[in-house]
Amino acid sequence: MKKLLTSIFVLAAAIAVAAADYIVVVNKGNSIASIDKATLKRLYTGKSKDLGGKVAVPINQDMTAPITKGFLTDVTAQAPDAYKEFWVAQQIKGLGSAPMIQRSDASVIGVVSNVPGAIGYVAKASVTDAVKVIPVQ
Amino acid sequence: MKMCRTAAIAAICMCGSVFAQEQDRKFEVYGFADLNITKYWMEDNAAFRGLRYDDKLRVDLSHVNTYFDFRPNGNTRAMVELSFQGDPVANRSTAGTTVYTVSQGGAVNTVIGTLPLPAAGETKVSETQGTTLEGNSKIRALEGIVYDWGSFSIERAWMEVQFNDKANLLAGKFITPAGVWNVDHGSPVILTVKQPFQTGLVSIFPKSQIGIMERGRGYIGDVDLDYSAYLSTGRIHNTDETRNSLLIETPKDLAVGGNLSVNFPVASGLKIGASGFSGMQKQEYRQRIVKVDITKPATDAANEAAGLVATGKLDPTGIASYIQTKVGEYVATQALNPDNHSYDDVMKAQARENVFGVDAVLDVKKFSLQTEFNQQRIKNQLKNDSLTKTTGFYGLASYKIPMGENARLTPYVMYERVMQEGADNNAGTFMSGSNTGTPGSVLEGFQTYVGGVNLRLFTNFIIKAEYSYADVLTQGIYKDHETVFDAGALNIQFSMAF
Repeated sequence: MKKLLTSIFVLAAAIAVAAADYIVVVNKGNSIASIDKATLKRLYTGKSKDLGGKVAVPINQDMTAPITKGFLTDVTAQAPDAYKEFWVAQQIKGLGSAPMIQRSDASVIGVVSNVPGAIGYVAKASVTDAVKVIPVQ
Repeated sequence: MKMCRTAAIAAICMCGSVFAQEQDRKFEVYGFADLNITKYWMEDNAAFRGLRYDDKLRVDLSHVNTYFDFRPNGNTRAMVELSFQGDPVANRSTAGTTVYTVSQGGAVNTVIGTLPLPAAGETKVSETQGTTLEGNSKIRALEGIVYDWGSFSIERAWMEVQFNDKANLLAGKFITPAGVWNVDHGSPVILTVKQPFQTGLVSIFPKSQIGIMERGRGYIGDVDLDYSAYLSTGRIHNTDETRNSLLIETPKDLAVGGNLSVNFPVASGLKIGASGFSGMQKQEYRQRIVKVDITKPATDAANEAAGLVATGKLDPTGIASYIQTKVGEYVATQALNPDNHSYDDVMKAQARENVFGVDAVLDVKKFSLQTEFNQQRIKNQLKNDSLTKTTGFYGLASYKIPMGENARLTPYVMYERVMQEGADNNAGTFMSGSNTGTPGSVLEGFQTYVGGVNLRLFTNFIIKAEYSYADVLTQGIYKDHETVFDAGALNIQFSMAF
């Protein structure tokens, strides 16, 4: 029984780590070297619009994508449904609109490489030289 | 007509979305709508009937609010929120004009009749002077007021220059940044069906204002500090006669205010805020002074023929009728004669209003607690700075119960208490008399008990069911008839964000 519980715990932990497995990328021209989770949360909840001195353009991926669920849960402590609800409320309050959505890692990289203040998250395997990877502290 | 409206709403729904995929979203349209089913229970002579409430089942489209959001670049934004509301938002004078005589000292004597309604767009004669009938120095006319049910209003319309997180300058009509519920005014955002009275019917803080506002956000570690400070024309009254409350005569007429809120990363989130506002309340009406020369007929026989004298004595009824007829004739023939009239602005109310409030929202996992305390202090400058104090408090507790993907049930309870002291002026308070010396209301305040459930079926669609009981407090004066002042209500609301 103990073995079973341990196995379940290890499996759950592995899934959690996998879900949060994302790489944050910004435009190559952005001077920012790293970012902390509090700042990331502010960017993705519309509280901050500043990213290394540029107007921030945060990018989400499809709300049903596993990487989105992992990122939002890790950074904003909200599941995609709660995050969508949060942005409905923000709009009604007149506080802004949700970040744009791109449907794939390649699309995210495409936007980030062209927009100076853009920031997005992609799978590690999808990172290219077109964007700059910044560690999340 | 109904189909057109439905099609328009559907079109709006289709072109707006919370989550968009376009890279360049310069212009967005979105909003919310809610349908309410309401049933009140109250006695036949309940005080609430005087406040436009009814015990018949009412089904109405309470709100259709549409936002037009324009962001030409990363540093500027303009937004207009257009609202259709089932509740009255404007008053209109349609009840005719009551004419009564006024003695030299200004005291009202006798109501002598009612003039017919003016045609649409016609200027009303508010006061006549110069009568030569004994005891009457002037004849004053007052206008009746009725409520418009259902109308459009611009909730906000502003443009903003966003310099950075810390500094943003906004100009236009904005929702007053005060407390929690004044900003969260849309049904998809509000947990309950009805807002507390202190942010609705009573409006301790002005709901919206016109002016300029500086707002921004700072950070201390994980703590967020939001601030706003504004300069405005003050409280906007929704009555036609007080439109000129927006006029600024002196710098003292400008209103100032602001809000500071701090978000702590405590539990699942803790927000504490404080708000303040100081402004003038001025209600003027513009009257046209028409010189009226009403003389008694020269002979007794003519007097009798005109109905002024009956059986050898002056007849008050006949005099009243005679004056009314003559005033009517003057209105018809002389009111537009440039030599025969002038205009005068009369200050109906003039008061300094100071408001402050504190608020807090605490989230602990699925449990949430929200509370606000607001106080308005009005000094009536037309009555020796007599003070009217309105104090409001509410507490709202809720618990979220997840019901699968996208669905959630949230039961809630709320208690509210609003009290008023010194309600003897006419400075826009919710239970005031008038500045002519009419005694203030016997009402002391009221408390409401609310319980309900909020069922969120999808991200954008909510059904709410709520029962509330309002208990009006009468300082014990009507303690044997307390229930006459109470009312129960069942509200069901369907709310949708689009």
